[in-house]
Amino acid sequence: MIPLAIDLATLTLPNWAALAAVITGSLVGAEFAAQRGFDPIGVFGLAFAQGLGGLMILELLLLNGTPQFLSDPRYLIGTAIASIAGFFFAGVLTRSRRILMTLDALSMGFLVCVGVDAALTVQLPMISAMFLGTLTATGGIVLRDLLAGTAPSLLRPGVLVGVAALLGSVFYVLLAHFVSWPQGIEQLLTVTVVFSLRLLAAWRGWRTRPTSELSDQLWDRLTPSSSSDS
Amino acid sequence: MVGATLALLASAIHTVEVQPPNNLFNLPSFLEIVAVTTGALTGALHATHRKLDPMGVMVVAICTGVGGGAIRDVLLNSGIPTFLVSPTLLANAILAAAVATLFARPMRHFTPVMSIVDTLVIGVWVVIGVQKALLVGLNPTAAMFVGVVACSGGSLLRDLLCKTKPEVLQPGTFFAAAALAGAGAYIACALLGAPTWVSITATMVIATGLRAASAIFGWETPVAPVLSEAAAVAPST
Repeated sequence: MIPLAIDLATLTLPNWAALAAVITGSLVGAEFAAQRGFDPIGVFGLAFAQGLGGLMILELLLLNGTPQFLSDPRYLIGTAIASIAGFFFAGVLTRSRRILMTLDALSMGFLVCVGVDAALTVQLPMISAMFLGTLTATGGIVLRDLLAGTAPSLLRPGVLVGVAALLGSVFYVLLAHFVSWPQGIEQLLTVTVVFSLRLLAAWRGWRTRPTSELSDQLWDRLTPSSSSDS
Repeated sequence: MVGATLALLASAIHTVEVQPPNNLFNLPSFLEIVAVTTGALTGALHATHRKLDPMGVMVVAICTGVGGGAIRDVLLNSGIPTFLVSPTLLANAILAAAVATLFARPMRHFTPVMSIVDTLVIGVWVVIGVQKALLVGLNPTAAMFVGVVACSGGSLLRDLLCKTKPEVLQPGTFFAAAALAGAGAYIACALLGAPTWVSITATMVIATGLRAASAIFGWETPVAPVLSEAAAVAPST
């Protein structure tokens, strides 16, 4: 199947990339749910939310007709298998958290590409494409937290995750707009950017800080006398 | 008996036909931009006071600003949501988030001003929602519903993302109730055959007026009366 001499101009992200991203997201979601004592339906629900949430919101917003995860059975079957694995082998998954996190970083890069590509196909403006890329990559995590009844961790101070998706989307859109390299190369670069940002953040412990703290710091510096108020 | 009356009423409403608004007089598009920007600003300020990080503040600002319109457009299935098609809305929402992030502390003193502006724009959301629904050919009941959803969707998303109790659903000053009254005013005017600009003005005045009046005079939406004694006691224990 695979040609020996690869034509770089036509090489793009393979079809199974989105599926792989969905299955990885589902595994992470299932592990999250199993560790918090959810029942099988709960585990499947959170696996579904994290795996398919971003793509689902993307397709709803773009009015793509029947969502692809319904028309292509592999998505739901993959999510179901991932949630069964998460239910029975949560301990194993938790112990191999580093591998899971690495795969998740990779799939975040894939999802950014899927979102931005979908937006650029229907010729949306650049800023919308950036937004949709970020949304596709992070929507699942936010949806999972909402369903689990916890405050969305992605939006709160912690290890930098969402910013990686945002920077990746901005990078890809700018690349697609200003540099007309083959799509496959742009996608590869984008996945690399997101992947390395997330791994670096986890490795070096880059954490985001509360906005109010940053704002207070700024205003303390601007008006040294009023630092005692509030 | 009550059921029969309601069914009769429902069928009576169902047969009513409202002319879709003529496209000659629509709201100027800058009003939607103003509505999105103020929504984003209030959302971002809400988020900065709840220990979200800058990325979170931006997400909440965008969702509060464009969320209602997005839900409206997805419900009506009438093409890709406006906020994705025209870049101005998203750009303004992001700008509002940046302003709120930088000026969170001084803007603490301007909360009353913010709530006044927020009150002014709810009429805009209702009018756009109702008009879009009527243009798709929906019945008056559904158009009113879409108007209210367009108006309150952003605030609902904001509260979900910030993990606070949804303000729309809590007893307090009139918000969704004011929007509903405004939407009703639009439908009533349209039924009476008033020109579109009259319907728009009536909606804006009633929605904004009710919200402002409830804030000024301290009117609050009533809490559901609980019928049985046991249920009335249970929550307080």
